[in-house]
Amino acid sequence: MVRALLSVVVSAALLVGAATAAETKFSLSGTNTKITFVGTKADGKHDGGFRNLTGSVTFDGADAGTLKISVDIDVNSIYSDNQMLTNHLKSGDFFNVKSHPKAKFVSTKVEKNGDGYTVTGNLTLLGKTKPVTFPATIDASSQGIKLAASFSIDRTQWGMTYGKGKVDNEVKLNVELTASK
Amino acid sequence: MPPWSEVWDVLRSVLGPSLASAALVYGVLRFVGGERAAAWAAGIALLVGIGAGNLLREAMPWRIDAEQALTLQDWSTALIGAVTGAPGELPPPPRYWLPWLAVVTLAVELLSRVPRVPGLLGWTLRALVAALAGRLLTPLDTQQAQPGLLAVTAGVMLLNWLAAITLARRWRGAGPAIVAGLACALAAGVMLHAHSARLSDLALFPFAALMGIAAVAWRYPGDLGPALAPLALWLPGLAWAAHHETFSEVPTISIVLVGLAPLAWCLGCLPDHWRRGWLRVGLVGLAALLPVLIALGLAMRAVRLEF
Repeated sequence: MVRALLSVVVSAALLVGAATAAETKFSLSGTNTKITFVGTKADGKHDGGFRNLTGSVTFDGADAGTLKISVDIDVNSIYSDNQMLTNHLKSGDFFNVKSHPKAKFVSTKVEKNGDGYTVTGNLTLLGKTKPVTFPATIDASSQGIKLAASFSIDRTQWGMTYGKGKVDNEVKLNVELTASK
Repeated sequence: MPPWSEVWDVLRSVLGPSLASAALVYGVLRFVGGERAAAWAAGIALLVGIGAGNLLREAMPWRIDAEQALTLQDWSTALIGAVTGAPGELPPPPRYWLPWLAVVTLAVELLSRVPRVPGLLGWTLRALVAALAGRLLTPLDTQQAQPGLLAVTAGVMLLNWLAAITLARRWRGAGPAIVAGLACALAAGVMLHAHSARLSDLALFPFAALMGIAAVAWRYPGDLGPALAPLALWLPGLAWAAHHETFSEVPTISIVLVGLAPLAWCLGCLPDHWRRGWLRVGLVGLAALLPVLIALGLAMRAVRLEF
C-alpha cells in the first residue's frame, strides 16, 4: 500500500518536472522589446514610445499558440519627438504618471490566424483594465522569439479623455520583440 | 505666440461661452433683483460661467468613471474615501472636487450673509469648508508625507476667503471682479508653462466668467463677494493639482504663488482715497496682482513655450 502510494507520488513529481522543463521562458526589457506609438491630430502627428519595461514570454518551445506574454511598462519612461510634449503626456492631461506609474499587458490567448497570429490580452492603463486583440507575426523556437505587431487603441476607453476633438482618440501602437537565449 | 487656430479655439470654446453666460446671468438677476441681489447674482453667474466653459472643453469631468453615469452612491463613496484618507480602487483626482467645493463655498457665503445668521456661525462654516477643501484638494500622498501641509492649505484658503470678501465689500463695482479675473488669467499662463492644458482651462473658466460679470457690474455695481469667494479655494486647489500632476521646469515657487494670489487682494481694500483716479486704481490693481505676475514671470523664465 505504502509502495503504491510512493510510486504514484514519484510519478506525479516526474510528470510535473517534465512539464516545467518543456516550458521556455524569455525575459523582456527595454533592450529587446520596443513599444512605440503614434498620436495624431488634425494638423500633424507625434511619435513616441516607452523606454523601460520588464516582463516575460513563456511557451512550450514549439507552438507559438501557447505563448503567454506579460509586460510591465514604466510609464514615466515615456518619450516623444518633443520634450514639451513628453512633459505634457506625463501630466494629468494624459498618462498622469504620478498617480499611475505603471501600465501592464497580460496575454490571455494566442491563436494562429492565416500566416500570422491573433493575440488577445488585457491592457491596464490609468488603473483601468480593458481587453485588446491585435494581429501579430510571431517566429518562436526554443532558441528565441520574434514578435511584431501594429494596432490601434482608443485611448478614451482607459479614461484618457482630455483633448477629444483636438487630439485623435485612436493611437497607433507598434510592438517589436526580439528575445533569445 | 500660439497659432491662430489655438487662440480661436480658446476664444470659441472657453472664453466666449464663460464670459457671455456669466454676463447674461448676472445682468438679468441684477436687473430684476436690484443692488441687493448683486451678491447672489454674481455668485450664481460665476458658477454658470465656469459650467458653460466646461461644457465644451470637458476639463472637469462630472463622472468619476467615464463609462458609467454618476450615481449618488459612487459620488458619496468617493467623497467618504477622500475625506477619510481611504480611497477606493480608482479614486478621482483631487481636482475632481473643485466644482463641488465651489458650489459649497457659494452656498456657505450666501448663507453667511443672511442677516439672522450670526457672524461667528458664518466664519465657523467658512472654516469647516476650508478644512474640507484642504482635505480634498491636497494630494493624499502629500498629506501622508507632510501632515502639516493640510492645515497650512486650509489656513491659506480661509485667509484667501477673508481677503476676497473684504475686497468685494470695500470696493463695490467691477474692480474686484477684474482683479480676481486677471489673477486667474495669469494663473492660466503659469499652468500652460507647466504643460497642462487642462489646468490652464480650469483657470480660464473663472477668468472669463469674472470678466463677464465685471462688464455688467461696471454699469450695475454691487458686492461681488460670492463670486470671489470660490476662488479662495479654487486657486490653491489648482496649485496643488499643478504640483502633483505636471512635469516641467516651472519652479515650485510659481505654483505656490498661484495658490497664495488671493491674499494680495487685501491691497485692494485700501481706503477709498487710494483708489481715486485711474492711475491709483491701476497701481492698486497691479499690486494686488503682484504674486501671480511674479509667478508667471518665473514660469516664463524657466520654460519657453513652443507651438
